Amino acid sequence: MSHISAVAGVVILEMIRRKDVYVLLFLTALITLVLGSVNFFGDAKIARYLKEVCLALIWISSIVIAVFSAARQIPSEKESRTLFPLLAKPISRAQVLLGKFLGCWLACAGSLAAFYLFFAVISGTREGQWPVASYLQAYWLHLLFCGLVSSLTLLGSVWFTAISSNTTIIIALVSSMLLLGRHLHKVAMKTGGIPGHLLDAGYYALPHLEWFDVRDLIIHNWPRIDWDIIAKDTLYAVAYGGCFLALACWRFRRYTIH
Amino acid sequence: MNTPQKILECPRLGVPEWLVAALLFVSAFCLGFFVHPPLYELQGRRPGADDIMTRLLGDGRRLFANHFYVKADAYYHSGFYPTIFDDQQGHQTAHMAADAGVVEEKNMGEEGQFLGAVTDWIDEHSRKHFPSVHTHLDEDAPGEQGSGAEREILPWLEISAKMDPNWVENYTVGAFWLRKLGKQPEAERFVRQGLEANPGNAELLFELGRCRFDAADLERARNIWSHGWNRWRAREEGKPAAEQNRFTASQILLNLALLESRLGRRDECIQWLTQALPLAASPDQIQKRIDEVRSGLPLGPTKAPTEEKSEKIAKP
Repeated sequence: MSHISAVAGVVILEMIRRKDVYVLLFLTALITLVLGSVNFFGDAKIARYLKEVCLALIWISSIVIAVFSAARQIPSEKESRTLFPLLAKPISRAQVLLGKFLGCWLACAGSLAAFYLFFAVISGTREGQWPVASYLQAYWLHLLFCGLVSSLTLLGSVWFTAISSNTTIIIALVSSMLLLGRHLHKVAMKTGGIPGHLLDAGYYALPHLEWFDVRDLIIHNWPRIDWDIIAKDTLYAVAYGGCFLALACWRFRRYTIH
Repeated sequence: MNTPQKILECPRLGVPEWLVAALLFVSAFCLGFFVHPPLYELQGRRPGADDIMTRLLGDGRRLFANHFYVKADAYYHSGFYPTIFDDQQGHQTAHMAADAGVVEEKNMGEEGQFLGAVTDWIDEHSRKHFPSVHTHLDEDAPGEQGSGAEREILPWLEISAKMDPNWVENYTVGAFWLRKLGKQPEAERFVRQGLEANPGNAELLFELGRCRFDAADLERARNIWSHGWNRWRAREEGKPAAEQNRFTASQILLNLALLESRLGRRDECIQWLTQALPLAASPDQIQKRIDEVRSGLPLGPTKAPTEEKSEKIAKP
């Protein structure tokens, strides 16, 4: 475990040194504040459009952070030849990969905490409500989503040769699942035939990332989700994340470094 | 030797060039957003005449108007809204417009059942993560009764109106909800903004008359509605009966009749009701009202569906 946490620590330090997160946070804050200054019919209590824009920006930023941070871990170590001295140490390849995952996930956790804090302040000052439990649930589910995306990207990074192809494929897959995941079965039933069966297979086999997106509940002030649902979501994310990481470890063991 | 990519990077900051470019673009856009209208005012031009959206998108902005209008209706349902993959029979007419009584409702089927029956455990679990109960902001939205949450639809209606200034429904629906929130001056300003883009439009004139009627300016309301009736006849009388917008006509005539009844002019009231008779969806109701007025009873107001629902909730 100490090996894994040591590798994770390096990843987090690298994320702190890089300015991506700060710039994304600044852009999110700037756009939200500019839109917040727009006056609609002189009503200062109108808040939901602002919550929607802010959450959309947070989601885009989180996908960028999770995918780009995980995608470059192994290829950049390989390119800069720091992977050789790292693997020469008494550390297994699986530990390196798990350390990379943990580092990326904790970096996402830190940056998301800053994003959600900003969101809570903006939303609370505008609406005068502080539904802390709902925000915590949204944050936790978002964090599980980032974990799933990071593990999937790490799997892609040991599968595809170029960072660009990995990031493009993962972003396309994640966006498709977020937008269409819920409807795949309906589309499959309407399509029919072999394409329908393929879509149905995708519906049951692919991770339902849209479960972790509870923006509509937050924007429209719906009551918090039951905790047993959150527990089931957590188990689901751990199961899929575990599968992706196991596959990535298996692939990384056969990974040709030279 | 520096490669082109290394030259583009900011070595001191260590920020990738795409992030710098994005930051510069957003900063320039935000600056333009603030500087543009005052600049045009300085030049002696109307600030609304050539706004940023028009400059950026041209006539293509009209394509986005429907998206924002639908967004407003989705907000009216607190996010519970059918997607293109769901059954949209119950949402053919925006409920916020139908409840406001500004358009004729053409919805069919059960409006709250577009998700259909649960198909499997994934579907069942999925429904816990998004709004899956049919509510309206002004009636039964979670924890929002009487809090004026209807205001949340207004930004999207204003944006939709900016995107397509000739789409009259944006102004009429927006004005109704503004009046319901007690923002009569804003409602009137919004309708007048619509009339600037659509001069002499009967629907907008009807809504403007409602604003004046609410402000107890009955004479002006009557003039506006009469003008609206004349404009409706000029626009619609040449059309076949099936294509006429009789909903607006009967609304104008019934409100004119109500106004005359308030002013104690029974003959004029009966005259407007008689004109409404061949245009109304339910002539029997109008005939009943004519008989009531003839017998000396005052004419009761025609209420928007949402007002009728509010009364039912108040008096269970």
